[in-house]
Amino acid sequence: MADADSLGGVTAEEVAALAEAIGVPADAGASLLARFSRRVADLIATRQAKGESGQYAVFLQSDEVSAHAQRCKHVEAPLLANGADPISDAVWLATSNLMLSFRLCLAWSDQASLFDAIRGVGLGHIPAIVVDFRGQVPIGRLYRSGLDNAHVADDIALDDSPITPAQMKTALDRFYEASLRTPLLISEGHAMKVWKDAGRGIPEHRPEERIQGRLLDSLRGVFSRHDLRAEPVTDDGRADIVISRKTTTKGNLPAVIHEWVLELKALADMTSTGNPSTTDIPAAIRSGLEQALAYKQRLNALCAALCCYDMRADDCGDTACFAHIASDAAASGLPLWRWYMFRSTAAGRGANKHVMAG
Amino acid sequence: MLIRARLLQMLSVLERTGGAAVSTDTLNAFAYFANVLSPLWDIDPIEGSVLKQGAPRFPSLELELDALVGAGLVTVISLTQPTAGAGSSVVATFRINHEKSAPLLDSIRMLPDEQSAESFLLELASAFLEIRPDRQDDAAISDAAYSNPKVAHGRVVDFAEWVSPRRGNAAWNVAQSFQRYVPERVTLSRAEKLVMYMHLMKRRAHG
Repeated sequence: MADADSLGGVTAEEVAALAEAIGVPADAGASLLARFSRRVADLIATRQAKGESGQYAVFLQSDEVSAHAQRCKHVEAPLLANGADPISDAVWLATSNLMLSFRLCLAWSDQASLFDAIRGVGLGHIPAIVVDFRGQVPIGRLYRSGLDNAHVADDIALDDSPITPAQMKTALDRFYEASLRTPLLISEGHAMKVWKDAGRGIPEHRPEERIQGRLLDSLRGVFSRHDLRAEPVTDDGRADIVISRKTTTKGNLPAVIHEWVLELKALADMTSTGNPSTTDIPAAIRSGLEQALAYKQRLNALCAALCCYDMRADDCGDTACFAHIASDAAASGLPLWRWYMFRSTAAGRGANKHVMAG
Repeated sequence: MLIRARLLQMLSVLERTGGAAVSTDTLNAFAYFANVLSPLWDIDPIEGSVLKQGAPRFPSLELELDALVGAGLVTVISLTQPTAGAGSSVVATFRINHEKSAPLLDSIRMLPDEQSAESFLLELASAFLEIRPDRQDDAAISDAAYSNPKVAHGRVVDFAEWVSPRRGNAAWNVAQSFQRYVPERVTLSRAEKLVMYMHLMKRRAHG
């Protein structure tokens, strides 16, 4: 136990009571965009339960909300986050926590004019979530770099259904394409570097940890109704992400379902000091599979996957990379996923051409 | 100069997170938590101690705020004369001037450790702004180090001046102690400890 004096004016009982009351906070460490996505998802859930109907709602996340609101006629909506008022058929401009929100008075009649109206007032560059209420279940799309780049979008899970393997793979693919595929993508947006010297194939220290942090935040934005946690990186370079969902049992007791365990491995043939790595890569991959299975079993998780980020000089392909564990993984129903990290933008372009020609 | 840079970062994150203009009371309370909790991120606090008198106040910070207003980097949004009996000072609210401060903030980000400082301040601002504006001072007064009954009113609360900013800082100790009360398989991150600590401050301030 801690020395009571060391806690100053706080008692150990207060600490214990608080920890019991709130548990582990779900949004801690998340970027403002991920927080925004989660707040909007909560709002949608609240409104859905109250029978929200309509066509679309757009939520724009602003870092300078008061200045952006001046771009057009607007009405302050201080209680937006409470979910008491209808939200569809409107464009909302808000801070990441929805604490300060405005409804923008824009003229639009369909999807195209809606997007144009937002771009027209110069807000096409800020992150946006577009929600389509026309179906049984609302569908959300997250435009991380705004509607000006409408081709860069992620589907957001707005309901409480379990995450399917296809949904997970799509989210991981999108993350790779947007953030990891080439060194240029990795360095965008003041992001944490993964390569120390990409041209020479030298990774930063503990690349898994760096990938883990960025991936976690990306997934938090997409799976906005789930809780995501990163387990600490261990000396063998392993990194896990656990995705869970709060629910209630038939007896109305609180429960947690662990839906996914992601085991991350960065496969590098150089060390961060620029020396050839002595790591036995096939053994490391097998160890990753074993860890994923063990962790899945320990948490009683629904699914697990081994995610390899291949930083080696040669792209040997998925089949060769996983040949020695493929049958064991198949027997356990555990998907093996791998993404190749190009050492230059030119190499990435070359691979694109190869794929298109093939 | 370091205080001025950190102040600009603080105003920036408060704007990005909450959007509203901030008062000097809010700024002082936020700066207090930034100082006592920065060791969680391995960042040196700007101030290592504060006089225990009412709510924590940092005169050097307020001087720098005046300088930022003079330089046009911060805009005064409102000036209010308090009602009779509530004190004689005019209450001001401020907001960062995005256009002018953006290049400076970009330069600050390039300095060693400052990107980490920004992520720390963003995390803190998100948690701090969950506390009602009229209770933010109370939250700072409720802080583990500030409310230590062994430090009398009118004495100096030392959390990093002559004591270790970790073991000698009650706020850091409380933040670390949350680890004992979570499931065994969970290792709390620094962000989780910070958020739990600020939840505790909110609970104490809101009553």
